Amino acid sequence: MTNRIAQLRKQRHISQAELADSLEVTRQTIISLESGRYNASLLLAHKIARYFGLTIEEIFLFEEGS
Amino acid sequence: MLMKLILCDDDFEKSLKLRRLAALAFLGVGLIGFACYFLLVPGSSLSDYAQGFYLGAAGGITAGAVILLCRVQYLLRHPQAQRRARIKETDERERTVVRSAFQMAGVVTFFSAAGALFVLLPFSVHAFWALFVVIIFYSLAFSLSYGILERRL
Repeated sequence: MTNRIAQLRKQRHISQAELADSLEVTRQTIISLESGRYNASLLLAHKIARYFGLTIEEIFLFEEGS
Repeated sequence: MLMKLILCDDDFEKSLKLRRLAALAFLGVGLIGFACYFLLVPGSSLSDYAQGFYLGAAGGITAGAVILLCRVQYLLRHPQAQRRARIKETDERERTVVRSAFQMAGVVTFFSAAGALFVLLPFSVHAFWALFVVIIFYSLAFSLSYGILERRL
């Protein structure tokens, strides 16, 4: 599953550390999410969507057969 | 790390206070070990190895308890540090990594122990049986945990 977290973060001029602090996760988690190495849980995905003011589907892109 | 998994409460401050109690209990155990070493061991017929176990175990437990106690007190008195520690401990990726590491370590240890049984038997029957019992206990603990979790989840 890919996501637009890095794109959205850069558009808003937010650092990884600031985003991590706001979501109450570690910076390493943000790095792993953005690189696609880690998939967020439903709870974290919801928090991220709420932070950016978007829906989960607008941030996390589910690809069939991936 | 195991204590963090066991005592992590939704209320992190409450969890820290529980850990403080646990640290004090461990400190008590360590001091009992020291007391036994100085009062009971000299007059006993224990080997040097066993006496060394008392001193090493008591020292290790006491040192660990003191370090844990200092860390907990520091976190309780410094809200920023407490917040950083809470984030690090409750981070879902971190918890996934720790759980996976425990699983991998468990599997590697189990198969290594099973292999070690073949090597141990010619050298020491007592060690063979001790390791065999540990493997059986591990298997029973796994089966019990599986049964409980299957019903609960």
